[in-house]
Formats: sequence, structure tokens, C-alpha cells
Amino acid sequence: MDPDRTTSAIRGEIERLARRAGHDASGLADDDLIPATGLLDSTAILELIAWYEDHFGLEIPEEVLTIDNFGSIALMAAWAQEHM
Amino acid sequence: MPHIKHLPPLVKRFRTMVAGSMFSALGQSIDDLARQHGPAYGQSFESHLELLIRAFPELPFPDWAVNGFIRLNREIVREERLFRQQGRYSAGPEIFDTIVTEVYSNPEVMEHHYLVGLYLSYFLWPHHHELWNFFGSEFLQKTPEPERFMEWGVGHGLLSLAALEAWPETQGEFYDISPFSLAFAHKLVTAYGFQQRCRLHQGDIIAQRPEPAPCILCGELLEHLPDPGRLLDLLANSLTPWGQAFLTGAVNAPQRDHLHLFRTPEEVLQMVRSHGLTIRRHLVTVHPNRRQDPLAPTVIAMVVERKKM
Repeated sequence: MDPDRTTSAIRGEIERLARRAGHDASGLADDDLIPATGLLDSTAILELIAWYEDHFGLEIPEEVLTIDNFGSIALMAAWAQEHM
Repeated sequence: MPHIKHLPPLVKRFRTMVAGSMFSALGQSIDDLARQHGPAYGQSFESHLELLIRAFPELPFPDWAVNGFIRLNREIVREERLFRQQGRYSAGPEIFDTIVTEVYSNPEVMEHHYLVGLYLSYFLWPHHHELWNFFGSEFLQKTPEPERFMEWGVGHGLLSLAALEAWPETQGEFYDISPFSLAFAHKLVTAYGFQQRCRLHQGDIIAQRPEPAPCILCGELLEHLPDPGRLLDLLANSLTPWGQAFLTGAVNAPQRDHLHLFRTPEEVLQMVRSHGLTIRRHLVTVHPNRRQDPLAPTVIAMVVERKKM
């Protein structure tokens, strides 16, 4: 998948989940740490991860599910690009 | 935020690890519960974390507990996605035997995350914490100390542990189909020093047909069964005439091993009433952030007794 489309798909899902909770995530930068923004609660982050696995056909092992690997849109997109 | 600064040490360690993870917002749940319930919440959570450490000294704390809780939550959210797409649970009554093999008889699932995750949910999910408080205030405190009690589907053992603590002369009988549940619960009661006051029975409760008792605990079991009505019949016939039972039901709560889908709280209440039981008190609760969601997982706790003829 084209890297821009990967990034855009992840951003779209984050914006959808944030909107559901009454937040506007359109200003989120690719490198912003998602858990630190407060845009998504823990359930929404879990949903984002479940969506990511479904959407990209990937399974994220527990030990790699860290902020260092998945904390931002850019990191999530990079991991998807590397493992698809 | 003084309520957070004053969290007890093990809760603080747990929260610190959560806060450094992808699921740092879980720390907010701890903060919210501490704010809502005051010091009693932190003390209760602390004593249960301490107990887990004593019962499982070989497992690294807080890593085991935090990772187990997160893994359980990941599985549940995956199941919720399927549930919303398909309108039904991924499992059904016809695969009960498969679930027994793949879940309840599987140490990789039971010991790794299932039991510890559910145990911790009573201190991390606001609606489960409300249920836990209801159990204490509306069942344990209002039920005269019985000579013995049974817990059917003892699971992690949290309810039995609280009963043994509240009733110092009472004997507990733990029933579960999973040897790993019984082992987990036994380690907890042993860490508390209550091991002489409990007996373990492995197998299908419906096949075992136990002797009637004045008190039965039956939490998180109905939705796991292919035919919950049979269990309710057994419950009505296993309570002594003035006996009381604590019963829970889960509504729209997909999990890998939930077989019977209750779609509304009323459906649970109606089923309980139609199987020879009277509901004395009950609680219906849902996660506060999800009250607007018509498919939000909901739990019901009930204090029941045999219907008088």
C-alpha cells in the first residue's frame, strides 16, 4: 500500500474514534504521541489497534505493542509498511 | 490531583506501568475511581495487588498483571468488533466443548491473562467495580453468616475470597470446570490463610448436583453456558428454603467464551424469575463512558432466593 494512503487511513480512523468521544483530532500531527493527547480513551486505543490489525491484515504481538512502535500515526504507518 | 498522589505504593506502580504503555488512558480509570470512591478504593485495590504478589511470587509484578489485563481487553475489543458486524457472539452453545478445551483447559490462556485480567477488572472497569461494591454492601453485609457456601464457576476466586473474609466461621466449596481456575483461586485463598476453609470440586456443576446450601455465589457464569436455564433450575433446587444466592449476568458482552447472548437486562431478570427464583435486589450497570451506546456491555448483579410456594 502507498505510504500516504496508509497514513491517511490511520488518521481517518483516529479522527473517527475521537469524534465519537466529542473530540476533534484534525490537528493531530503525524509525530504527536497519540496516548498523550487525551483524544482517545483506553477503549478507543484498543479499538484503534483492533481496527489496525483488521485493516492491514496484521497481528501485533504483545511485546511489540509499545509507544516506541505504535505511539504516533507515523510510527503506526511505518510498522504497517514494514510488515505488510 | 491529591487523590493520585496518595495512591498506595503497589497501585502507584501498577499505574506507572500502565501510564508508560500504549494504553496510558487506563491510568485515567484508576484516577477516576480514586476520585469517586476516595481512599477506600486505593486501599482495596492495594490489598488485592498485594495478595496477587503473595499468591504468585514467581511472576513479575506489575508486568504480569498489567500485560494480562491489557491482553484480555484486546481480546474483548476484537470480539466487540465482530459482535457489532455480525450481531451475535462469535461462539455459540454448539461449541461449548471446544471452549472447554481451548480456553478453560488451556494454561496459556487461563494462567497468562484470562484469570488475572478478569480479577483486575473489578478494580479497573468502573462498572465491575460498582458490581464489586454491590456484592459487598447488598449481599455479604445483608446475608447472615452461613455455615457453608458454594461458588459455582469460582473462576479467579475474588467473590469467594471476600465471603471467607466476611464470614470467619464459614466453609467454602469451590466448583469449576477449569482446573486452572481452581488452582488460581486456591493460591489466592492460601495466600490469605483460608485454605483450610475451602474444598475444591472440578467438573460441570450441572452434572455434579451438589447438596443444597444456604448460600450460593454464581458470578460470571450464566453467559458462559449453552443453556443457562438449566443452571437456574439447579440453583433454585440447591438453595435451602431461606437461602440466598448472588448471581450475575452479562448483556451484549462479547467474549471468546460467552455462548449465550442476553440482549437486554430485562431478558436476564425474566429468565431468572421464570426458573423458580425471586429477585430481592439487583443492580444494572454499564461503563460510564458508554452509557449512550445501545450495544455497550452491561452487567447485572442480583440477590436471589427460592420462590416461596
